[in-house]
Amino acid sequence: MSRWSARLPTEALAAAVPLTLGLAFGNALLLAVGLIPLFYVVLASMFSGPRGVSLETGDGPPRSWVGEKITLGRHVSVEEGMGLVVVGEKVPDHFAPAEGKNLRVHWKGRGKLDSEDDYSVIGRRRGAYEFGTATAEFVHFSGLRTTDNETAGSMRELLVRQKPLTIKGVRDARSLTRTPMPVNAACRLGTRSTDFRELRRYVRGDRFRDINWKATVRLAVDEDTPPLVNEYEREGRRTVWVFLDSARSMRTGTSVENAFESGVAAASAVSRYFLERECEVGFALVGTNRAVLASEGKRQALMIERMLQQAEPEADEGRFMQSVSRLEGHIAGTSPLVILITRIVPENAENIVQGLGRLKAIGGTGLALTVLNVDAFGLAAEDEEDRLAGDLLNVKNRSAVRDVRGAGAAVFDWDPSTQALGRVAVRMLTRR
Amino acid sequence: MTRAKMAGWWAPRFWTTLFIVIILGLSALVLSQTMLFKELAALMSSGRGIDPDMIAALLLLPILVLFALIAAASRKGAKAALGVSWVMLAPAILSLSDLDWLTVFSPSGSGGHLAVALPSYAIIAITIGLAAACLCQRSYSQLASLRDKMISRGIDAGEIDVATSKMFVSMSALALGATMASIAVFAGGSLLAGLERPSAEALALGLAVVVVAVAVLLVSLRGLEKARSPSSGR
Repeated sequence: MSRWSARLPTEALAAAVPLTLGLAFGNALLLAVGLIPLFYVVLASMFSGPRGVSLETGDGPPRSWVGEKITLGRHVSVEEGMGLVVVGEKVPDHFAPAEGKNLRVHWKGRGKLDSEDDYSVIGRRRGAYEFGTATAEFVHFSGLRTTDNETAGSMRELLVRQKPLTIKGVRDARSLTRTPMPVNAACRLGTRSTDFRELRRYVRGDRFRDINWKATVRLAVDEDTPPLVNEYEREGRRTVWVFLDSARSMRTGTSVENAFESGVAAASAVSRYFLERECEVGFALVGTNRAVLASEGKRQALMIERMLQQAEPEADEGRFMQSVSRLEGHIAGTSPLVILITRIVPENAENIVQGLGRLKAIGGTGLALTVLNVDAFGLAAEDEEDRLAGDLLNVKNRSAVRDVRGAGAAVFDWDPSTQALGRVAVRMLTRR
Repeated sequence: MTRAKMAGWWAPRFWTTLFIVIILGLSALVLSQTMLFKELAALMSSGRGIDPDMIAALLLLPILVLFALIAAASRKGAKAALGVSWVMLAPAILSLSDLDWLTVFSPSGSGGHLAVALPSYAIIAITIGLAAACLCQRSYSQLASLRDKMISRGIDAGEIDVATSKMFVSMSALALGATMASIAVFAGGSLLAGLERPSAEALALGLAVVVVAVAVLLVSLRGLEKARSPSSGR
């Protein structure tokens, strides 16, 4: 929709004043002077501004990694009129410009305008983002008329994933490990043998066909008693459970680089590391009901990645115990290696200690507990003073870390701003 | 100067400032040639010598022009410089009026105090030029604020400079067309009325300009037709 710009009243005034004076003084020259802006407006109205626009957004890649350059493009074509054509596409906040600009201006002269606008951006944070809606606005070459935004293009989704960190330098974790994979670790979801092991209560995720209805009816105390399922011995692999804390305190850092983002990268790397070594890996997002039950293979890696992709640090503090309680049916008796990725602060220390105690009680004798304590103050530090302030704040957390260590967990501090995950992993998985 | 530099934002700013400075100088010339020069000549011939008021006026004029010249380089100053030009031209413009309001209000006045030493076509040309300069200045000012807005939105400065420079050329062409059309009307009106003023020279100038204006309009209309044609190349 074309409308007059703010310049029109100025031109009207520039015409009205000399015309009035010319009439008052009987001055033909002033009348002629007053006609100039009037003619300007009339002549401008004879020519149209840019119109007949065709705006098409190109197909960008459907997914990319954090830090990877993505090239996006669009084609703009204007058939008629003269003036400025401003074409832009909204880029989500977590993208940094790499090459070119997402906002371009073109001069539409007397000929047809055809332009390919390519630009590159870099995704700085994982997530699902929407691209593809470009807007165009036009300015008449006289400056007297402007056009409202015209929106075109189809929305498309771009998935930015955390680039998997690789853990190197751990050659034989089993022989060197300080926090060893439990010797008697068993798997609850591996290849199932036909050897009956026990009856246990039904937990969420169990298959319905495993429910032993006869035993359920025989042993039920009341109508609220959960069904019983048959548990069979499994020719299983060793199990690793990765817990990632999604509490709000994990937001420490910047909106792009913070404890939670580092935790996501670490959870992804650790999961992949153990899956590649033929372990069964389970994953739980502490503070939510979301979990991926322990399993192995590439599909499991994809499921964990998908959950990590959607994870946000929005939960309340101190929910580890609740997560353990929710999953205890799946953890019980498997003696897994449990890795908790969190920020240990006084507010959640007690809950972590309780959760670790519960894990010991249900996990079996060989259960190993490891806590990766993400120290994210360094991510937000801009200078040495900020770093010192972060160190001081960490002093406050020391007693909480001691409490967790006292509960039998091996705690490893990780400052993502100065330490590569691989180096911390070597400390975690090998003897020092 | 390279072609690339001329296509940048430098060009509109330079040409607008140059135009304003020229008009300012011409306005100062008109003022000195009408009011001051005539008054000075009268004083000298009467043998009374130059009174302090006249000395002050003589000193004030170059200072005023100097300030206006300096101000013309900036966007807001250009407006002030054009205002000064209007003030300096006002007596000469009013001298071309059919109705002398000053005589109406003071019948005892001489009536010749607005007499002009310069030929009327020069006054007409400078006044029309000043009106065109005002139009150019408004165009330039609008483009400058548009450019600032675009740069603040994140558009590349080089890209917007090229686009706004091209737009300035189009705006100037439009301003030229409007000026020519106005001159044509003025000249035509004078011819029809058969008035003594403006002078014969002015009418001749007007006629010449009408021919140019018609040519410009024809070319513009032809360009419009070509631009509207979908098959036209870029």
